[in-house]
Amino acid sequence: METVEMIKKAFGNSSDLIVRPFYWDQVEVTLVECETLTSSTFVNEYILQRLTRLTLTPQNKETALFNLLPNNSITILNDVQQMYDYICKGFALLVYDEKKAMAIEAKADLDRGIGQSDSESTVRGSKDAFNENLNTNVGLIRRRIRSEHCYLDSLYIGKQTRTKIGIMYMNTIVESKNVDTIKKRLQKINTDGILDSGVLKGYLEDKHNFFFPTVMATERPDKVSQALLEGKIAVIADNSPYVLLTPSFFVDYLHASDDYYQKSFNISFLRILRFLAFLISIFVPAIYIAVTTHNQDAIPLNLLLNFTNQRQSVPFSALVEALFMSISFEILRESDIRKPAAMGSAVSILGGLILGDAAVAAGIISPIMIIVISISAISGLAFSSMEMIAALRSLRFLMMVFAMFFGVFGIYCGGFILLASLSTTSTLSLPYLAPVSPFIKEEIGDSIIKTKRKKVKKRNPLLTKNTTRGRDV
Amino acid sequence: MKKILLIGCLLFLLSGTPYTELNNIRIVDTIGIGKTEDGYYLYIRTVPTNNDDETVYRVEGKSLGSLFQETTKLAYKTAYYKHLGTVIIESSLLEANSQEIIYFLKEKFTQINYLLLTTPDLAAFFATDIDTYDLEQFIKQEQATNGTIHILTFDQLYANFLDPLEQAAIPQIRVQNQEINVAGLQIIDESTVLNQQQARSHYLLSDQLTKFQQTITLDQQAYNLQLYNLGTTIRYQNNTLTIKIKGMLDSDDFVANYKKRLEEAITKQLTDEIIALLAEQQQEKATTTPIINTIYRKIRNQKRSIEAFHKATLIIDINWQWKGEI
Repeated sequence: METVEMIKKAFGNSSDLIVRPFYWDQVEVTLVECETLTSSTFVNEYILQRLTRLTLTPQNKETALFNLLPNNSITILNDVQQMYDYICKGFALLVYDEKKAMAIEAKADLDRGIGQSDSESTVRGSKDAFNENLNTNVGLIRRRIRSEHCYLDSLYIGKQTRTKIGIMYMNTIVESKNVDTIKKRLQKINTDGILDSGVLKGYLEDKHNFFFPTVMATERPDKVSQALLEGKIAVIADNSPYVLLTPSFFVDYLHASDDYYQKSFNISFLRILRFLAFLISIFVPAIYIAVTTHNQDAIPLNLLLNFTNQRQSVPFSALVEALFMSISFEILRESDIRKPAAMGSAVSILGGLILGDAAVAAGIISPIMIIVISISAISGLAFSSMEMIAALRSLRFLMMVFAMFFGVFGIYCGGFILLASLSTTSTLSLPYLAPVSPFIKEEIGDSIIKTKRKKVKKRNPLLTKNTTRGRDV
Repeated sequence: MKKILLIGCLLFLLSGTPYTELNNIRIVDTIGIGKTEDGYYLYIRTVPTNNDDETVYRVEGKSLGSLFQETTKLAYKTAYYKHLGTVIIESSLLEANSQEIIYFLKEKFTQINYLLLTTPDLAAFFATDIDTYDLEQFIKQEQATNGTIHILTFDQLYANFLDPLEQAAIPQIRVQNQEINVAGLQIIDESTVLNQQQARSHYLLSDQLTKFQQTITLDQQAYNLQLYNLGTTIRYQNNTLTIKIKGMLDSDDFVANYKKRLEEAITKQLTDEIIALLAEQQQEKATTTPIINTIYRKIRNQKRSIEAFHKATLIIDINWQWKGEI
């Protein structure tokens, strides 16, 4: 048949494209499938076996195929382009007429199942995490929000990958203009492919966002469900275990999933600690450099002598020493992420213990610098968002350079730039520092200090017009 | 990207900002300023570190400015004055050049609350290894035992110096046989030095002395007493200057049978010392010594002029009570 020939030509006679014709008296039906995407068991047992039992005539072939093949996802296709698309999605095609085919869902199970979250592990709360299957991910959210108001809109992005993207939101809560903005931004994307939700981030963020992430990626369904109930929008990409949440404010990055499962007093304490970690991560190396190169009078004499003694044998400037140590740490962290788990302890021992100790003994770095950079780096890891960790790393380096050239005054300048950057950043055109600036009293109880759950009766008015929690709509 | 480039360019343009690495500085602990025939000399003592021993440097210069200019680099390292602990000024320098010295110190070492002392022999002092910590310990010890010295910081001196009713004075020390001794209290711009007893009386009258020790000998038996100054009042009335000191006594020795005699003895000793000091001031018709100013400050509320003090009859009334007795 001409259609089959077109398909074969389009796929360049790929070796995994199966084309198997079946003949009756006057009828020819050709099975076309991509064997790497379809389940051979399903095709053999539920399509081929039944197909061979059928008696097809030119008059009844479409009805017979449609009624006697058991599947809830059968689609009649009239367009060759559509046929290409369905083959790529893992459907088996029965081409029974010129330019007419029946697509039967026969996807192979290529998922890894529902596992635990690696990057956002919690002590309390659910343990399941998203995987690479969009349907599974949507299911995990729907299992938590059993409401007809939880809408899912879909679109396909990527000229070559045709990746399915889901936009999920609570219709009764979300600000509709935010959904429209997201859809417009996604529809404007013109690219070859979207291989992960991370690629979408750049398209979803507002312009002029310099340092900080404004679209949060999470692999926890409970976090996404919570965000949907607040009026946020989830963007789910097929083949990505990370779901994007937008708009995301600065304070959202200070929150953890299990914040909502523990006593508010304890959570407030932990959030203050995280905020301190944010400041320590950015400023501590810079402060050390400033006070040891420009503002030595700020250090008590005994401590200054201690620092001086430790630095006596170091031939480099404090900035070079700090950069050396910071870059070494980043390399160590990067190799720790990429290496096989079996090599974990070897790299840790070699990098963390032996190299650190040897570097001090060799006079390359001072012990105090190891302490300073370690505190700073560990504080930076208090956040689960990789983007926030990266932002902290950039700011840390920037502040170190400022401190080296201008001392404490440079840190003031850097702090001013940081504050200016934070206050001019926006997420879906909403102020990033909300609910602190602008002050939003309805939301301030769930910013850094967390008030008791039963006292938080209002939603953030920036995110929704339906601000009363628990109200029927 | 443009912002990063802009910040980078700014940093490179402004990268001439001076900075000093910790291993390139010598932390100065003590300096001593003295006068040569045609200029000044400066002693600098640095704080020892692991690699450097404590070092004393001596430089000479025509002016105070050039003196410090020459000491910017000490043996290839930068002299770091911001942790300066003590400034010792040669006694002879304070007799004539005090104003220049004090204003120079004010400009040179801004916002530093360092210890100020004077000594007749700077070389002898810097021949020892006495540093700021040793000096502070010595002053605290001497203050608690004999009450003949009081810690003076530059801030306090400068405040006195600016007050037209005050006459600034600096504690004077001597070094003999590698040990510090209190010489007294040197009055700025004058060649006058109050001796140890006079200095103590001055501190007592100005309420700067709160506690000291005194040994009294009765019947060839020495008794060690702790004296607490509970307050000194000075009144002028009918051409009479009445000084009332209220104090408390304590002793670790067995003094139960000698309390009265001990009170009388210590009263006599302190009275004699105060009368001797004030009589000397009256005789010299002094108008601006620290003692005069202390008294004048206390009686000026009674609208009395300083001349009244010179003509006044002195009455000193010291009342004691024993610790634990009401």
